[in-house]
Formats: sequence, structure tokens, C-alpha cells
Amino acid sequence: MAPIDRCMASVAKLSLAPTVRPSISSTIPRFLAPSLVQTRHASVVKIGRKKQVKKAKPLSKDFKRHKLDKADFPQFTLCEALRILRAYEVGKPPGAVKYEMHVHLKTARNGPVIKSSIRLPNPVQSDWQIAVVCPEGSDIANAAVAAGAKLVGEETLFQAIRDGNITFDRLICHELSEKKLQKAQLGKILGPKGLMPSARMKTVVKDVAKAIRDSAGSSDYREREGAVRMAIGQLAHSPEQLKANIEAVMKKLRAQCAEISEENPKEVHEVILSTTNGPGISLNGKFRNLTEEITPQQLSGPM
Amino acid sequence: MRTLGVRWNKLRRALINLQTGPGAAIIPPNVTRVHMDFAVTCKGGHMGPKKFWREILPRLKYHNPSIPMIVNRHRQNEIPPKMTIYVRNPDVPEPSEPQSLQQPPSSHAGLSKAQPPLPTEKTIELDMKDKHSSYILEYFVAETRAQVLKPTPEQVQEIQSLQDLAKQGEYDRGVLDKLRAEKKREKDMLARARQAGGLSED
Repeated sequence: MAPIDRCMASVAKLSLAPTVRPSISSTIPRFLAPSLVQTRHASVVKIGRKKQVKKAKPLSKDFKRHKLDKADFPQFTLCEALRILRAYEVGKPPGAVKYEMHVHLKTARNGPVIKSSIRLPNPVQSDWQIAVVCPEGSDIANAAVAAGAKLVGEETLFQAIRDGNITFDRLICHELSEKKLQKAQLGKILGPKGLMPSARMKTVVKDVAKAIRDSAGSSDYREREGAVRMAIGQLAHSPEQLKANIEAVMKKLRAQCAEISEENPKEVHEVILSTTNGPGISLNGKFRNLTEEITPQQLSGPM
Repeated sequence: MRTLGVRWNKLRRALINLQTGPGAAIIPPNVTRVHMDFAVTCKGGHMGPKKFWREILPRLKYHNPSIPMIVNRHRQNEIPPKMTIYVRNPDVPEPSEPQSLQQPPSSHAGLSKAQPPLPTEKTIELDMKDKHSSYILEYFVAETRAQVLKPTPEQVQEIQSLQDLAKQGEYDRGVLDKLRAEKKREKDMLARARQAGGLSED
């Protein structure tokens, strides 16, 4: 059959009249008609000014950090800051407002970044929805459900993620299922959300129940653009509770900075406390001035 | 990252706005708590209380951080907005041990209704329907005998310097706008000339 088909095709091609295109080269040889081929430049007037190309200043290797003490930049004690922030958040429902902390680091633009999670003494949010990747119907799955996992499974879970049906905030993977998870190629979907389990983030684990317990009250943080930003407390927390949270985070951050600092030294530069709607207030590291008339008791309790 | 000057000037404005202005007053210690009840939207005379909460209540809270000021907002605009001030009752002797307040926190879904007063408290109520926020403040100050704070000489100086800064900013903005407009005019003229005359740059 094939040869006949080919034959027919060539016949059909012949029967179609080819469109005739006027071409210069068919009548006059190309080298005899330079005026038609070349464009003329002599008659076009050029403006004789050269474009001045401004060289963009190269970015400095470190993030810019202003000298706070030299500028005499005002910093506040925790109680002063809380007084201002609580005034800004008066009458707001406590569920809608959180305290947040920004830690500016003295650090290079490239190099390793600080990234971890911490169990705060007074958790900001404790009702995380956790999903676990583990063999379906196994003892591990049962243990995970008993520990409070919302979703459990392998292929059903992967399918739900592919469909964009992500109803959880945390994803933990059991060691046995790690290969299956990698084969499922969900990195594109989970990666940008920060949900992809990895051994480095301690979300690929042996003991799922323990991981769920650890993860339930913990909050993640990571360094972006030279700053660590995270929610640090609820509006209902007292100054002492907030102090405990801030101290815990700062202790861990300092330890991490010291650990990392072989080639890229990192250092804490400034700590800023803020709320959802309030201004950012630079903290000076003290709890309260003894001369202040405001006591921590006045700053706790209902707003 | 913004420069320190920009950050500080913004915070200065926020602070002075919190410390001085209408509502900067110290409430006497016999006021135990304040409750406001009004709708989320303004319809039906609910605008005054909303403005009072947005503009004046933060100042009262700043100067009286220990007094709970509860705001309950709901969707029933037909209910007239009401302010309840809880005051310690001088006729009833103070109990030996302090009673715990059963007051739910502020809500935007009508979940924090005004609670009945404790046996040691009495209430002062104000119907805030169709009232201006300044009227509400006047009433509040008169009823509680709050001591209105006048700005101190340092604060007056601070306000003055911020005003000067704003004036200078206005002037600088004008100068820069003119400069930018002139540059744009020249650029447009050049572009038009190029289009009309067939001049090309390269």
C-alpha cells in the first residue's frame, strides 16, 4: 500500500500549480543590483551624541545595616513596646491579631541561611493540620492517626495534592515511604509551599507519632533577605509569656549564627516587635525600666 | 531596607498621635472596664461609635493600659449602639479577695455581649445612635471625671517639628515634581521631533 500512496502524493503535488513569486535573482543577478540589496545609510542623519550608559552600582556583598547606636535610634523596653502595641490593637478580636518579631541579621547576601523550627514555651498556634505519608493500613498509619494526623496514606494523598486539594499545614513522611514520595514528583507543588518533607528539615522520620507531637506546637522560621520574621505570640499573652518566647527564639538564633559562622559570619543586628496592625518597634533587650509607672500586670489580661 | 531617618519619623508620628490629641486622658481608678457595642457597618447611626473606636479609643487605652476596653461588633444595625461604663459602687464595701472578671474578649461577630455588672459595680450607659465621636468623648469624660491631659512643652515642640517636616516635605515634593515634569516635557518634545523629521538616533 505504501508505494502507491507515495505515488499518489507526488501526482497530487504536480497537479497543484505552484505559486509564482517574483524574485529579483531570477531576472537580475544579485551582484549586479547592489542598490536593491543594500540599504543606504549615508542619507540618514545621525545625532552625534553618544548614549551615556549609567553603570549600575554593584550590590554590596552584605545586606546594608545602619549603625543604630551612632544614629541614636530610639529603642524601647518590652513593656513600653507592649503598651504602644496594645493601644493600637484595642478592640480587635484576639484571634485576628498576633505579635510578630523581625530579627535583622548582619550577614552576606549569599551563603547558607538559617532555617529551622522551634517549640515556643507559649505556642502561637497549636491546632496545625498534619498529614503523614506512610504505607496505608499499616501500624504506622494507625499510630499516626492516634497521634492526631488528619490525613494518612500514600497514593491517595499524592492524588489529593496533585488535584490541588491541600487541606493540611504540615507534611511528615515516614522513612519507608520516602522513595515513593520522590517518585511521585510532588516537589513542584509542595516545594514553593515549604511542605516538601526532607531529612534535613527533620520531616522524614522513623517515629511518626513523636514527630507529630513535636510539630504540633512548633513554629517554623527561615532567613529571607537577611531577616528572620515569625509570629511570636498571641494578643492574649502576658509580657512574661512573650518574654519567654522571645528569649527562646533569640537563644536558638544566636546558637545557629555561631554554628554557621566559619566563612559567612552572621550576627544579630536588631530585634523589632510588631503586631498585625501596629508599628514596628525596635527592642533594646530589657524587660522594663524600673522608673516606668506601667507594671506588667497592667499589660496582661483582657484588652 | 529603609533608612533609619524614614523609620524614625514614621514612628515619631505614630507615637505623638497616640500620646496627644482627643482622648488623651487619665481615667480615675474607680472605672473598672468599658464596653462598646455597635455594628460593623455605619448604617443606622453607627458611624460615631466606629470612629470613636478607630480614632479615640487607642489614646484612652495608651494612657489607661489596665482598663479593659471591649468592643463588640455585630451585623444587626437596627440595635442602637450602646456604651457601657462599669464603675465601682461606693455603697457596696470592697470584697476582701478580688473577683475575676467574666468578660469575653473583643469580637467582630457579636460574641462579646455586655456582661451584667458585678455586685460591687454599677453601670453608666450611653445610647450612641447618631452621635458624633467627639460628643461621645465629651460624655465619657464628663461621666467618668477623667483628667484630660494637655500636651507637655516637649510634646508641643515635637508636634511643631513634625509639622515643619511635613511642610518641608511638601515644598521638596513640589520642586521635584517640577523638575520631573520639565524632564518629561523635553523627552516628549524630542520624541515628537524624531517622529516628524525622520531623525533616528543610531
